[in-house]
Amino acid sequence: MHPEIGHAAQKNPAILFACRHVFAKALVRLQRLQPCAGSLIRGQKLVKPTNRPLSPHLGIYKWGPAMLVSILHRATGDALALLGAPILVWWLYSISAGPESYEFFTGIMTTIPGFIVMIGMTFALFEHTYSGLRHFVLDAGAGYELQTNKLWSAAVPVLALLSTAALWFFISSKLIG
Amino acid sequence: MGSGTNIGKVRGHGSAQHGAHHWIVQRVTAVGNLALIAWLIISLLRLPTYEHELLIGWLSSPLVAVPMMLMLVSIFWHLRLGLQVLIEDYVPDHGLKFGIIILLNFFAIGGAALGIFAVAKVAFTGVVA
Repeated sequence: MHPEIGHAAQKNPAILFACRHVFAKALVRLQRLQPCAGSLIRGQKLVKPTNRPLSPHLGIYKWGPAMLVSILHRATGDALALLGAPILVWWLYSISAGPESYEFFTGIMTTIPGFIVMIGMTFALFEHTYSGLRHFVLDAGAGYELQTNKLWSAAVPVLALLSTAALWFFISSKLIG
Repeated sequence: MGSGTNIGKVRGHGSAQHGAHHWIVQRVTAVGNLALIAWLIISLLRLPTYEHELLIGWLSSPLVAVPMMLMLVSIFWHLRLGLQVLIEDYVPDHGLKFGIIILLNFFAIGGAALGIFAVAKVAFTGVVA
């Protein structure tokens, strides 16, 4: 107990009672502390409270265009890396492996799921590209004003959707017409 | 002893001076992707049909085979850097992270090698036997 409070508590029992009350509450709080399994430093137990507020994560934020375009940048990048790039290599491999192999490739890619994947990859490519161009502007230190940032964050997915639609309209008119 | 942190000075390690390398290469390959994928889309859309024979003729031209190979290098390098950041963000365990990054390197280098070999085969053999 702080010496000054101790001195005051000796003079006034009401203060002593108040101090005991605070101490009892602090003890209850301490008892809620539990050792945490994942400690940062090996061999040391890290005490972590169970009912303390966590650092803010996705659920706590109000959605905005900048947040959406940032998440989409990572999601489309990963989709292109894990699905788009293998399909690109498969396409090149199938051309090099002969007509049957190429027909097998085009046969699969022109089914309904195949078209969904191709159109999805087209959107991912445009989204990631336009979002990447936005990153170049941000890297240069520009475009951080609230309204400007909001405008271009919202424009990126819209432009990507329009580009995807335009490209596939061109492809279908070319193949059919 | 450079101008690193105090503990770094004590250990005899300053900054490795490589901190910006990953970031810069990601941008360099992004510019490469931008130019080469734009070329690929335009070049593909200009083709009259997508018959196998026609694609063989198209791909065996040096002005198609070379940008295609460069594009594969740029794409797989860029995706290797991007997926590395993803792994570093979401895999906290050091051993598992190390293992997954090894797999990522195999995927990136293997994918690029397979693509480049396929293009080279078409470019050097031309017609399919």
